Amino acid sequence: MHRLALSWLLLVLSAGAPVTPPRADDSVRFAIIGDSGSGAKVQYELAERLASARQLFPYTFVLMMGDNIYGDDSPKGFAKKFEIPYKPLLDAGVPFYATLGNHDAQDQRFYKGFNMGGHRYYTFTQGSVQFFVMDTTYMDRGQLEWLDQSLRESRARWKVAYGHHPFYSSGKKHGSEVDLRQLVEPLFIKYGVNAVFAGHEHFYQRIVPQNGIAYFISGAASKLRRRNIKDDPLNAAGFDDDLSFMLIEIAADTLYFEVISRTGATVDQGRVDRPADH
Amino acid sequence: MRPRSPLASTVLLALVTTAGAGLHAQSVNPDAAAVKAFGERVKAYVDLRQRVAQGLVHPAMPATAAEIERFKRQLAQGIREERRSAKEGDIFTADIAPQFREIIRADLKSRDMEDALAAVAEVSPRLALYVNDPWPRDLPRATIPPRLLARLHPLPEGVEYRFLSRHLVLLDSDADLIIDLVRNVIPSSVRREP
Repeated sequence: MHRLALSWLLLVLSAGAPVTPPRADDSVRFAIIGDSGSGAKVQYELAERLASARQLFPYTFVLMMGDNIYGDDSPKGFAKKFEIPYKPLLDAGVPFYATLGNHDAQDQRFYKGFNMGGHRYYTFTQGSVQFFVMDTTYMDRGQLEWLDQSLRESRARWKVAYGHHPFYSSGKKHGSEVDLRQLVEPLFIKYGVNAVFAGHEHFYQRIVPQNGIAYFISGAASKLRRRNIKDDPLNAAGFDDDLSFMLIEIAADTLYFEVISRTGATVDQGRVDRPADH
Repeated sequence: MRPRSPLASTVLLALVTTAGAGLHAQSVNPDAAAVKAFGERVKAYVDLRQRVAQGLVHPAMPATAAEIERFKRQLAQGIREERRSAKEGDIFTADIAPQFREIIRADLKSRDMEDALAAVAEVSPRLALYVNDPWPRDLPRATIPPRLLARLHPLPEGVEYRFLSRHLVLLDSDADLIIDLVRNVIPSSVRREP
């Protein structure tokens, strides 16, 4: 109880004012795309923007929030919806770490470009950050037990979870995944997860921090649901006018985020400070 | 925490007893016997699939898209050949199917309408479905609400419950094949019409 209360006090989420990521030598820098695999022209346009952003912000890997390949998942489909649009990044050796969306076949977990190691759910560590990648399309007992054990054993300074379905959302189309949240969020609280990312909703949204956890939705890397964010108490910031992706830097006890639109505009930015007691 | 329906509790209790003391429960509880037999039929399917897979060249890990597609196609083809006489109700037999239907209906009924609609919101509209059909490529895999999933008989990795149309499908998630189905488990009262 004391720990939770402290988290509430110390988690500071500031946004609006320009925030300059330090680009420190030992920081963890990555990008986030969600619902990317349509193969449409706009996916390519955003992918170009994502690649060019790396010139200014040298991220070293990319998280994929699911719906990686819509529809045709033949080799031709993989090429059109992943290998070609992100070729500059793949050629530069930037790895992508995917989660499965409800439009994804499960055998994507074997695909070399998604670095899932053959698993529906998995964990990996980059610097001070341990990532917990969930398959939210099928949260069975085995996965819950894995998540509990993996979080319990984690000694990482930062714990970041992601999956396709958002636990909190102001989307008119889908909204919050309450069922999922009721089962999983208690584990996040218990083990001190700092930030959670999701897709599924075809827009960007920053949620008002919940239970000391920063929640983000980044599901507009190729599909857009315009004017879909409700003005409700969950909504700290949102962008549903165009496609977008996120850039993240985690340095020491601070997570810096910036959201870039297809036209290159910064549509949200800020920082999340990690509670000192975690 | 939502209270479990009596039948769901029976099924879960049966799972516990069959996993532990097992046979005694089977002899006194017909639901437990049906659940145990269901588990054995699923296991028989998984054994069959493993036999088919053993005869195939597995893709390298990590694999290219072409290797994945080839393996899935061959696996599905091999399973279909081995199960060419499979028919609806072979695994969801007449003694277990009503239990699934009742658990699902009780779960959906226990939710308020908005929650119930959300639970089936991703479910695709009416389709003709048959055993040994592939999962329709362009359709999303509707998420089974996790609290409902927790009430159903646990399945081995690679076999999943999914909703498709108003039906509960047992899906081989590697071969993308419909192994069996129980029709009309989602009542029309909570079905969002297309």
